Amino acid sequence: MSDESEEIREKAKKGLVYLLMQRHSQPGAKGWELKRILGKNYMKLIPLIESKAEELGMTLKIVTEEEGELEGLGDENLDRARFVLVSKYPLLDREAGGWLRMEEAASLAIVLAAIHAKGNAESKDDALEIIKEKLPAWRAEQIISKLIRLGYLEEDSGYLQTGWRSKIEIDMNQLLTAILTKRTNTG
Amino acid sequence: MRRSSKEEELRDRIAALPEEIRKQGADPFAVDVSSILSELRKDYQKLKGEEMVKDAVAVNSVSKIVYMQDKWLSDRLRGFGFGPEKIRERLIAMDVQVLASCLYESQHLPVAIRHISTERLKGAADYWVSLTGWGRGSKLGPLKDLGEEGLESLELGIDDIEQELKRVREELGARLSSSPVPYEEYLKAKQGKDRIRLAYIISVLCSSGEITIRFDPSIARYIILKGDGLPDSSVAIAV
Repeated sequence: MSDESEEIREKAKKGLVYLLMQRHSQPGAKGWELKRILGKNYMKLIPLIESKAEELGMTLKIVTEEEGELEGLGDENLDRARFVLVSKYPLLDREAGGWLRMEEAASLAIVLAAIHAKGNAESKDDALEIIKEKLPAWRAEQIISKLIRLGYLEEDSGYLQTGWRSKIEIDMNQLLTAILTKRTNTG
Repeated sequence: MRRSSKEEELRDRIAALPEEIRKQGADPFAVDVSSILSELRKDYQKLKGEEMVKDAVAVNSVSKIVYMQDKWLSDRLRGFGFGPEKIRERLIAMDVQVLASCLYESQHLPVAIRHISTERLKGAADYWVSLTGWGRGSKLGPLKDLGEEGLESLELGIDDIEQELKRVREELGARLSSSPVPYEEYLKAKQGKDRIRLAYIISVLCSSGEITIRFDPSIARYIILKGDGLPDSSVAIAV
C-alpha cells in the first residue's frame, strides 16, 4: 500500500476516534475542531470516515445551522456544523439507555409530527393542546421546556421548530411512517 | 495532470447519481443498488490514494440513493390523504405508549465514549485529599438515625412544588448569572423542615439539568452552578 493511501487511512481513523471521544457535554465535534486535527481539506476525508463508521454500525450525521444540501455550504457554515456519530440501528431495548421517559418520547413524537405536517414550525399552544389530551397541563409544559433545554426542540416567538438534537437522532421518515401505520384506539 | 483511471471514472459516475436523480425527479428505484455495490467491491483491494477517497464518495452516494428510495416510499405513503388535520387526529387517537414506541423506533442515539482526562484525575485526587485529610481525617460514617422526626411529612403538594420550584429557579437564575453560589450559604437562611424542603427543590432542579452542584476543592465547599441541560448523577450531601 502506498504512503499516500496509508496517510489517508490513518487520518480517517484519527477523525473517527476524535468523533467517538466525548469532550463536551454534547456529543460529536464541530467542523472547526475537525479542521484543526485533520487539516483544511477535512471534508474530503468525511466519506472515508463515514464508510469506516458504517462498518462499525454507526452513521455520521452532519447538522448545519443552515437548511439545505451540504455541498452548497460555505466553509464558514461547515466550520460551525456539528458532526455526530449515531447508532445505525434504533434503540429498541430501552434498558440500554436513552434520555427520554415514555411520556417525554410520546410528546416529542407529537410535536415533531405536528411540525412536519405544518411545514417547519408549529404553534407552541397548538402542540400543547394535543399533549394536554394525554397528560396533565403542568406536565405537558414541563416536558416541552425540557425538550427545548435538551436541544430536541427550538422555540422562536411562540413557535416550535425541530432542534439540532432531533435532526441528529430522529429519522423523520421512520417516525411519520410509524405514526401513520400503527394501530390506534379507533383502529 | 494525472489521468483518471477506469476505476475512478466509474466512481465519479456513481457519485453523480443522487444529484442527477434529484434534478430530473427520476424514480430512485430505477437504480440497481445491488449491482453497483458488487461492481465497486470487485477492485476495492487494488485502490490507492485518491481512488480510495473516490470509492468512499461513491459508496456514500449509494447510501444516499437507498435513503431516497426509503423517502420515496414514505412520501407515497403520506400522500394518501394525510394532511395536517388527519395527522392531528391520529396523534390524539394514539396512546402515549404507542406514540413513545414510534419515537423509539425512529431514534438513533449518538455514540460516544466518555473518558477521564489526566486533568480530571488530578482534580479527583485533589478532591479526595481535601475530603479525607489524606488518611488522617474523619471518615464518612453511616447516616444518623433521625428517628420518627426524620420521617415527618414535608407536606408538599404538586402546587406547592411548582410554586417553590418557580421561586428558587428565578432566584438562583438571577444569582448564578453573575457567579456560582455556595450551596451551604444558600441553605443557611432556612432551618429544619424548610431547609430540607429547599434541599429537595435544589435536587429537582439538578435532576432536570437546570443547575448543577460541584465540589470546589479550593474552598472545600459545594457550589451551585448553571446546568448544561443534562441531568446530574446523584451524590449524598449532608444538609
